[in-house]
Amino acid sequence: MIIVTNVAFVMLGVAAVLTLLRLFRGPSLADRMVALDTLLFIGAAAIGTYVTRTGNTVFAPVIVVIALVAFVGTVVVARAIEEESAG
Amino acid sequence: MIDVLAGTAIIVGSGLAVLAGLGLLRFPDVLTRLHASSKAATMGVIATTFAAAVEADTLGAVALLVLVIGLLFLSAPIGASLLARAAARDPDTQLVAMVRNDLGPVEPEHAGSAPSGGSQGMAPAFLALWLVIVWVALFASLTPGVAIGAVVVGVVVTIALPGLRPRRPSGIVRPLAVIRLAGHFVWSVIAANIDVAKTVIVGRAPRPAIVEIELHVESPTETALLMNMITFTPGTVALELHERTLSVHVLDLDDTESFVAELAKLERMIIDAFGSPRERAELSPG
Repeated sequence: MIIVTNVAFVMLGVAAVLTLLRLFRGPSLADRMVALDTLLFIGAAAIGTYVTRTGNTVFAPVIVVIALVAFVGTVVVARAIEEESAG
Repeated sequence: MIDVLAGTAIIVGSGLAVLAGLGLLRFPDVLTRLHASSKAATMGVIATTFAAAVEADTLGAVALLVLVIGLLFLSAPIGASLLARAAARDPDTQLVAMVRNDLGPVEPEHAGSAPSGGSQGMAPAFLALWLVIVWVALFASLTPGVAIGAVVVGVVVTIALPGLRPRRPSGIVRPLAVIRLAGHFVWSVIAANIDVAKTVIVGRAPRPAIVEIELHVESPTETALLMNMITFTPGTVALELHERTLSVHVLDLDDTESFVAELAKLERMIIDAFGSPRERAELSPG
C-alpha cells in the first residue's frame, strides 16, 4: 500500500501542476474558477490517499470542508460572473 | 483483498485527477474545460474517499466518508451547472465553434425559474432524520452528547428553516425501478468517463454543442435529479432550464438523435422510479 500511495501522490502532484498552469493562464475568471475547483479536489484526493495509507482519520473531516468550500466558492463566482455580464 | 480494492480505487482516483489536469490544459474553451474538471476531479475524490472508507479502522470514519461521497454527488454538479451557465451567457467568454448551438437569447425573467407542479406536501420528519444522521456522521461517534446535539439541531433547523424541507415525490417510489435507475446511472458514468478519457489522451479536438431537449418530468425534485445526473455524467452539462426546455452542453456530439434518445431514456427511467401517474401516462407509447 505504501508503494501504491507513493505512485498516487506523484500522480496527484502532476495533476496539481497541470491545473496550476491553467490557473495562471486563465484567461477568464470562469477558467480560473474551474482550475481552482480542480486544485481543491486534488487536495481532497490527497487527503483520501493519506487516510488510505495510514489508516489515520484525523484529517478526514477536512474532505467534507473542502467539498463545501468548493461548492460555495463556485456558486458565488458563478453569480458574480452573471451579475457582471448582466449589469 | 480489501487492500487490492483500496489500491485500485486510489490509482483510478489519482489517474482521474491527472486526466482532469490534462483536460484543463488541452481543451479549447471554458465550457469544454469544465467537462474535464467537474467530472474527472469529482470522480477522483470519490474514488480516493472510497479507498479511505475501505481502509479506515472505525465505523464512524466510514460514515463520514460515505457522507462526503453523497455530498459531492449533490453539490458538484450544481456548482458546475451554475458556472457553465454563467460562462455561456457572459459576452466576454470566447467559445470555440460548436457543431450545433440551440442556446436562445437571454430571457432574464425565466432564467433559472423553478418548474411548477408536483406535490407541495412537506415532509419535515425526513429533514429532521436526515440532519440527525449527518450530525452523527460528522462527529463520527455516538456519545450521549452527540446524540442530544443531533436531535436539537434536527428539530431546531426543521422548525426554523421550513424552506429546507424536502418535497414529497409527486408519484409513488418504485424500489425496483430505483435500483434499475441507479445501475444504469453508474454504468453510464463509467462508460462516459472512459469516452472522455479517450478524448483527453488522444488529444482529438472535441466537437462541442449545445442541444435543447423537451422534458416530460414535472416535479422540481425529478427535474433537479435529472439535471444533476446529466451534469454528473462526463461529457454533458445541464446549462439552462426554460419552462420545460433544458439546454445541455455536450463535450463531443457525434449524432444528435442518438444523444437525445439517450437522455430520453434516462428521463424515462426517472419517471419510472419516481414519477406521478400523469407523467407515466404521458410517456406511455402513442
